[in-house]
Amino acid sequence: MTALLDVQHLSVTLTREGNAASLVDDVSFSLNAGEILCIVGESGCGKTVTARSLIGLNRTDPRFALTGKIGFDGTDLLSLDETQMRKVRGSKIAMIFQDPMTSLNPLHRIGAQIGEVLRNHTDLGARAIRERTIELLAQVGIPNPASRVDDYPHQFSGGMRQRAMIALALACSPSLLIADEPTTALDVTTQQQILALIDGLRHQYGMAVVLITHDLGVVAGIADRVMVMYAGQCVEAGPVRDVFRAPQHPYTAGLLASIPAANRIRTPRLPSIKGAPPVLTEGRPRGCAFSPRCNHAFGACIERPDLEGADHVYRCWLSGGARAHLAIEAGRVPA
Amino acid sequence: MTATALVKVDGLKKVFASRSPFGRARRVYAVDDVSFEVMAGETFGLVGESGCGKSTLARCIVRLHEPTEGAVLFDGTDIAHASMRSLRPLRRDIQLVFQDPFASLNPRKRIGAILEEAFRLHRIGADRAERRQRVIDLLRKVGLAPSFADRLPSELSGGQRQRVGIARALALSPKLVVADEPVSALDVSVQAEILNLLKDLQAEFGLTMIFISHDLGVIRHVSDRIGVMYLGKLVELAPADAFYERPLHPYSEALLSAIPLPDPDAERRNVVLEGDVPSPLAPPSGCRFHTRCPRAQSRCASEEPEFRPYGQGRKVACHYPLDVEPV
Repeated sequence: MTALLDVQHLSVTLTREGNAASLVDDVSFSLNAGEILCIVGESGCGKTVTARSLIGLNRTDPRFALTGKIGFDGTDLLSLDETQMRKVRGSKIAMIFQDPMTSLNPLHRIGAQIGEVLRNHTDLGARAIRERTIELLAQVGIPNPASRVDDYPHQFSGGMRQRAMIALALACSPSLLIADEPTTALDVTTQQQILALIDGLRHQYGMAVVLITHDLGVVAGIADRVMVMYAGQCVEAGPVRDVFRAPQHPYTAGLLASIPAANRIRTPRLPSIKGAPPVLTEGRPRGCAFSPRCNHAFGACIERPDLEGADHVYRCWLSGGARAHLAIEAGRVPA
Repeated sequence: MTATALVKVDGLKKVFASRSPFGRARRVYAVDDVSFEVMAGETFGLVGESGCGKSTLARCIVRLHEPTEGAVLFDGTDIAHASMRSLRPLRRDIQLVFQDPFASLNPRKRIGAILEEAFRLHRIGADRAERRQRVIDLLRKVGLAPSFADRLPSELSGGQRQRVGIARALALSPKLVVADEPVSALDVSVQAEILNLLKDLQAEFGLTMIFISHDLGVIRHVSDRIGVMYLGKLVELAPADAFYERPLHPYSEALLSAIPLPDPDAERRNVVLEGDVPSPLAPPSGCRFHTRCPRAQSRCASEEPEFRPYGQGRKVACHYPLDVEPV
């Protein structure tokens, strides 16, 4: 089976005022139909830039330079021109954003905004478009869709707006959905509803999902595979259970350890990662980008490590024995 | 525990009056008849979803809002309706840490000047040199180098700014610190450091804390006792461990089961709430949670449950709490 999405050596460089900053550095991953890949990391790690590159939102911006290959359904998206890309965007790949209020036009009715996608990408007539729109709203769980279709975004609650965004994204039954922090602005009970909706949709339609989040709890609940990013690089990736059970990179272990999870036994102190993530526009630390914050850093770390491993990959110089110990550090195995 | 109550909130109400676009008067009961006590030296965690009134409650306690009704006793003095002038000496004892470390520091002032202001206003320290020394001590306490005094807020990261926010709250050695979502804007690795710092400082200065968050994980980590709010009402109050082991209010259970746990094999409780939080402009009759409650009976729609004691320091406002079979 060939992967639906196959990203190879994607690099994104931002040039501003003559300074080039590498925001995404040699990121590769692939995704099959019906799979959910979570990209996780702290602010500024390049996860959003990666997501926006997939759907080509930064390709027309002259400050960004993209290299590598984004294979989608057999074609390299980076080789398409903007007209061809437009046909893919919205119909085969759709994206939802963190803040549903700023992604919906406040001056247009919800139904009109969803209808626009159908008008651009299908040959349905006006009546069929309206019917399909109501159907979509019903599908994402908007109560009373036949009357809510004529509402304006301000008449919807935060959770309903995100549902409307999902309906909009689903309009043309895309095979890939990119969700950038779709639940970060929502309350926990609403978050739970939206995640259940996304999970249901991928089972129902075999849609693949790339979900960007900073919340490892969300990852554990929904992902098949996870990719941990730090300073624009993939530092660890693999099946979600493997990564959570036996993290192979000190950063992943540190993240897992520092969550004050509700099922965690209270300890006097939370383990934390010293320092702060680098600001990529000021340059990435030499060698292993995480080494200035890493408790395990040693001589080898001044060289940049490559990704090792087959299915579960990691970018670290530590020996197998030392990496095996990381699970304990992350609180995954009782010490 | 033989501790005495430092803060006693009694029947607190805060009503915001507004007008609809067509001139009809509207009243929002942001906080509606809330009573609880915070013991000296403890951390009281307040949780709830957005719009439940937790921030309004916090602001009433520090008197940034004047409550509409009810009393807030701080160390025996009612501060709910005291005049601004008579409150001034008490302001030293009650401090607030804000959520957004970007919006709560004046971008044009250097960190040193921001921290010195408190000393200046309360006439602490004989001269500039002494106040400067106090600022440096303060920075050290929150884990920042003295050189930060000469920096502007824009030169600091989110975590560093929140440290300054905490330093500012501690400047006057308060008795009570009210922290309103102090770590929500921070990344997890930084969040852990700030939580540790708050705990250390609390132990060092014997602070009493009211810690507000929507994150039940964070709340568990810091709190001794927990209060849950829903639409302006306190619906459950319990010691932290008991609360996480066995919540009594169906809303508490739903909140707990909605937290994403960072473990792919964790046992998840399967209580999924339908719909959204109703508008506080028109709260449901009876128990405000009955429209979304999986256990609601007809009585819940008509009769408002009392907030009654439940043994072992617990209180719950529910006709059919979780250890009682619904009839």
